[in-house]
Amino acid sequence: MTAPLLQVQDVSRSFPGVKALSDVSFSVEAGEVHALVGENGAGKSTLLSIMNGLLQPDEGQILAEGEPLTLGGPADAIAHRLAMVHQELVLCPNLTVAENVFLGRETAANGESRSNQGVVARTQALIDEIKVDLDPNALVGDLSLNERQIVEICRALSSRPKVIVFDEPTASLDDEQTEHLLEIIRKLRQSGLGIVYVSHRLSEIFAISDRITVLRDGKVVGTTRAEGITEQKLVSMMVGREYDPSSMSYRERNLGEVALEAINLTSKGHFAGVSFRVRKGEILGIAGLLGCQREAVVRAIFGALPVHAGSIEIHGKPVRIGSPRQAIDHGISFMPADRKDEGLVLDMSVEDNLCLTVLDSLSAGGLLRSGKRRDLTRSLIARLATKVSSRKQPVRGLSGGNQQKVVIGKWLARKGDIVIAEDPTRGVDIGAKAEIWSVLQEMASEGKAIILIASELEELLGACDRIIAMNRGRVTSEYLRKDFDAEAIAHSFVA
Amino acid sequence: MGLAEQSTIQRVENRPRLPDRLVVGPDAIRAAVLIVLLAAGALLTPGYLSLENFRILLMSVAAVGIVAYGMTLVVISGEIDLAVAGTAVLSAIVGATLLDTGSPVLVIGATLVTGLAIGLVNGVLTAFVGIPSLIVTLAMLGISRAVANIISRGQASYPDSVAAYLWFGNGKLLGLPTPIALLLSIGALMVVLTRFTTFGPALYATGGNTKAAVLSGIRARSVKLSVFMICGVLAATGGMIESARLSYINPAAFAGLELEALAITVLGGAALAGGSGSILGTLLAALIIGVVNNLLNQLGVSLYTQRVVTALVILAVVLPGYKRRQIAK
Repeated sequence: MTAPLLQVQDVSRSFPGVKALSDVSFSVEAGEVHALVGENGAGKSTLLSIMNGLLQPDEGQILAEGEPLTLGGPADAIAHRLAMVHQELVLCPNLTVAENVFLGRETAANGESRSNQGVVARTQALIDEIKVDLDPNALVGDLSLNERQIVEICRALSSRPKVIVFDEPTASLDDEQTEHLLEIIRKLRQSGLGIVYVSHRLSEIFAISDRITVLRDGKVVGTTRAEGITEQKLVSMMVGREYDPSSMSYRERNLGEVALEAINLTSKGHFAGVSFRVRKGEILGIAGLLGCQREAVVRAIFGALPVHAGSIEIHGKPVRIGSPRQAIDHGISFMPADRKDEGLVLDMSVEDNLCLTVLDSLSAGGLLRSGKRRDLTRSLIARLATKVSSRKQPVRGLSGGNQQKVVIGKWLARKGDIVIAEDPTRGVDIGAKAEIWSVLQEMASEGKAIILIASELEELLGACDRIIAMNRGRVTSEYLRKDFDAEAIAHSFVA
Repeated sequence: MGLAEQSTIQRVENRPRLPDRLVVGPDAIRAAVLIVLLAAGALLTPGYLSLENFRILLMSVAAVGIVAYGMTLVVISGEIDLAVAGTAVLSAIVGATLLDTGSPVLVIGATLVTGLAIGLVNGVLTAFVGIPSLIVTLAMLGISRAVANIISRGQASYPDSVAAYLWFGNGKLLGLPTPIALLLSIGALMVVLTRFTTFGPALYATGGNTKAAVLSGIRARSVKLSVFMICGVLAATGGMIESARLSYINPAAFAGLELEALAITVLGGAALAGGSGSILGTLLAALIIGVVNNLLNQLGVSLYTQRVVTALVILAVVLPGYKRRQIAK
């Protein structure tokens, strides 16, 4: 029996005050997809950094085909034929696909042609290898997110690796693009590579992996074959307690009057003739693929994108919304998907972020009422079970799930009666996910009207009273909860 | 499962990051540097810690310190004001044209209103038209200096006839020399503004992440306009203090004031990217620069050597903060 392609052996690593990894071991065989799962903070990032040479283990080692490796940096990892496809795409938008693939390696090392034509031809060969359609001369800035992901994969493949590590590769892909990526990974597996696959999305884990290793609190809880385990069992291993899917599920509610109605809304270059209404106590989902412009529709309603035609009525009265400030004054809340870019001020404290939407109500003649602010902050932290070391802690240091709770908290503080939530559980671990869904259901039960966008259709099916589907800037169909049918809705995206 | 129930099971996350209180606050570092410098002064020159020397020290940084307060607000908002020297000069010169009226209200009023107006133009062009503030204020620096020379025909004026004007440089307020009293009282006012009013979080949010601030209902453009206007008034105030102290309103004055104020702001802990910085830090930084210059003067070090030393001190004090930030990431 030959040694595994890659073996992580009894790796431990501490940081001041915390043991991030203790005695972690797992291995990857040729032609295997090995998934690493765990909640945020379980130690996945530390482990990947060690495998990439960015961090050194305190104890233990990494072996490639039985040989111990010394990894001083990502270059060493590549030299030992261990490549990584990153979660956040690290590409130069103003260079071509081929230039990105060979970035930093343009100079000839072993007599291979590194002329522009050589690079283009070699990129084309890589593209052909994974049987996708992509022009090596296209500018990366012009590509869609999943095409960029393919560039990342080509870049990883260009170093002729034996093992590729995928770190949350589908975080910003929609269902169809995800399926496409999984197809590519299956081809790579067939060609005998070892794959390490890290993702929060359990459906993908089950679709692609041969074995699954679960990390919790820096330790390996267990390694199991994928076919022998249920989703519920896997989640229980991850969170260390029994997992109750009912907390994510829909609650029956009475719907009230129409809270918001969009009538023939048009924003040039984005969408045209979009009409819909959402009632008090209702969760309205907007489904669609990337590029269907549903993000633009909710931004237009929130005053962050110009409206060129059509009108918006709130509680039956026509309103003009020219800025987010005006939208907020009309009782609209907006939780954007990109919490780092749009949702939070990372260097500000939890308290300052939570209170940002209600500064006016915390003021007495312009002065901040610090007691009132403290009480509000404490109640929001408690209501959302947010894990923070203090209310003065900068949000930068929080995990994704807790950051997301701060985004939701600042709009709970505002008490708006129309809530737009955009991918509220993106990149959030299972425990926090359940809590966030439960809070949204509660908000609807309190009579708020909720407009929900989620990248996974399954989430919309679970949470919504009604779903409208969008395709290329138009609303194509509408489904009531009793008629929900995943296939029909997915079909209407592309019809 | 209820939220409360879940939270009892949840553990503190063990993701790798430095504990919040492991590192000393940057303002504490600045205060320590200041104390070390003062101690060094006491060792090197007898009578260094005398009241008279403190008066000299504070007088030397009062005007630039007040200008640096304004710069700090602008930098926190994510912008920059390179026009402050021009603002100070043009405001002083506009005030000087009214010296013949003998009315302190007109002279002082015109000086401050000119500063406010220049700040308004900077703010509108930056926040509402969308031209980068680096370009707007660099242009404004050139324009205001040139206009000051056109108005004054390159001639200096002497405000000796207006006693209330001279008071800004040589009078007393609350038992302190006016420049020092203004440095401290305006500083206190700015601390209240940035830390105890609703403007504070709005300002830091605007500089830290404009997009997130706007989507939270902050009027980021108004915030930026406000800080440019405050900065304009404070630049005019600084210019007036200095002109009054010298009894001499000079259209060629304040060369390099913008860089001095910016250096103090950065030394005070503000990042040029916006979203961080503090008035207290800026005051401490102004004092550090003052003590370094004062010490070197007493030791008879040449002006050029002084500038090199000042620059090195800025790098030395700023460096640990940046290193820590990198580790934290």
